[in-house]
Amino acid sequence: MEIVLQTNHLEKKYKDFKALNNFNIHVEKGAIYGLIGKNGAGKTTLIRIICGLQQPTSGDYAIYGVKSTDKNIKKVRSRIGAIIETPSIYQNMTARDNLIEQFQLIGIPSLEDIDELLKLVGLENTGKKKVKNFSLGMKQRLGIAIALAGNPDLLILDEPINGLDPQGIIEIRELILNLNKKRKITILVSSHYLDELSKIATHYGFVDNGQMIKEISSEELEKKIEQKIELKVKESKDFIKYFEENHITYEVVDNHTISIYGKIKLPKLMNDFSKRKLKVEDIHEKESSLENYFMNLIGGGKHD
Amino acid sequence: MTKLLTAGFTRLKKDYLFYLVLLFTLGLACFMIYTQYLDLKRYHEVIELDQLLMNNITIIGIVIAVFTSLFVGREYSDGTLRNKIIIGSSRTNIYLSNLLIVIGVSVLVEILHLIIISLMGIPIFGTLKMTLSSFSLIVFCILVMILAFCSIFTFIAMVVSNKTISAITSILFAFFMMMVSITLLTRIEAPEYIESAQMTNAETKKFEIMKEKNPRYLTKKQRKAYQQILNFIPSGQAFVIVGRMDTNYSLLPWYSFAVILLFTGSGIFLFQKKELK
Repeated sequence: MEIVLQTNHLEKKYKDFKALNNFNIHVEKGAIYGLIGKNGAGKTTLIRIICGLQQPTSGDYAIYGVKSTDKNIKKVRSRIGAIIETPSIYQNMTARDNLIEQFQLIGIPSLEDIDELLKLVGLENTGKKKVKNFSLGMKQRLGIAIALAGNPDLLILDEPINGLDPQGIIEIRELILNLNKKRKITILVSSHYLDELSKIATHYGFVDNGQMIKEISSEELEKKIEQKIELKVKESKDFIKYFEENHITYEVVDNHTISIYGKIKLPKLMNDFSKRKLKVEDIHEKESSLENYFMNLIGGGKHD
Repeated sequence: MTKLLTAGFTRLKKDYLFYLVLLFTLGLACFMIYTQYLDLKRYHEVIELDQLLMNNITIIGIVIAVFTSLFVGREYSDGTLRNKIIIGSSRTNIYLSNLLIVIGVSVLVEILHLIIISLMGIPIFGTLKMTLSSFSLIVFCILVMILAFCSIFTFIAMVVSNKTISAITSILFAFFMMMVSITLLTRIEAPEYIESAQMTNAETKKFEIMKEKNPRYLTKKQRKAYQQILNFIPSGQAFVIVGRMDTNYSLLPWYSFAVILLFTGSGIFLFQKKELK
């Protein structure tokens, strides 16, 4: 699978604070890559660096195989469309005028596609209304239209649903899915709204304290978050030994509680426990979610 | 660069600020003609068209400061500067395209002023008193001085990310340059002797005019230094031109070129290094 975007030990320092620390990401072509992390985890810093707004302190990145140190990086960057935090639009202009401006910046001579873009984001009837009078959702959709002006292959959306009402969130979600499926655009979307991301992402990257904690596909993640079994035991030590030997992902919740993840054949597991004389006091499947998975990840108590 | 300029001028055409600046220029020119006409009628003053053509340049710095900080600053406040970088425009080109647009507007303002004053002023006050070659040199000096103003205020607008702070800084700096120029000018034009009336006889109330050496009178070396600083500051040049000071006018554009190089060079350097959000 072609890698559209990857970083190599990327580091960004603001004085003594490391916003990115040995950061590595791999975004595959055609993916909707959900970048998940708390506020201040380093998501926006990463996006700013990729978009050329800031320089990394060390390390590098490659867009479509072209390294950030290559002189052609600016040319390759023209294959990117991005919204970083807030949409970049002239508030005193109409939606159409904003798109004309972007078309001219890119150097697209014909303005024919503007109507199609406005229709795509549902802003075809805004007429002479100035952007400053738009709702936040409309502004966000116009921002996406502007990012799409140059027919990008990679669309980067930083917190696109921040501050939106439920209707706005649904509209953005459908737009992202539509762009990915119909236009085959690879999308990198950062958010801390985990449930919302879980509805669209095909791949995830979990970020914490400027580091990529884990990259995982949605299929793998689904397997993990669907199967979580919690065991109540007297002494966890021997259980841990067993899980390590059998490569079972586990998490020690406390001295008497262990959670295990993955495709687990319960009869075999119980049989093994019995052979080893490991006594289980209680066992039950626990409802899991992306949120739990993320919290467990950044909590650092889990072992693969 | 062409794409940046095309987009920039398209935005300019849709920006009310641009029309406000043109309207202000028109209003100022009409106001100047009207007040001078009143002086001519009431006090039979001799009004020279030459002077009228130049009078606006003492405040053009403030006009450029306001326009530049608001027009360029909008790219930061609306975040649209990011679009330019994301699509692959070089930072140097972004900086220079903004400078060129600001220069375009400022030169247009000056030309508009010259046209309005000429159209309305010639029928009332007559034609130029100075020779065409002298007038051409002065206009050239003014245009290069305007370029220097543009480079200073583009520097501020591109380096300061906050539009409000940029506008305040630019306007304060424009006034600061004016104040420094006036101070320098006052010192340069200070007379060598001060005349004072002293009573020599209290009974007859006889006064005698006494001439005293002015302690603020500049030495030759000081005068040269003050004049050079005055010439270096665009506002200072404006006062030199409007006051028709006795100086070598052909040197003034060189001072302006130095200002343009200094501010544009350092502006591009700082903008290249600037971390954008």
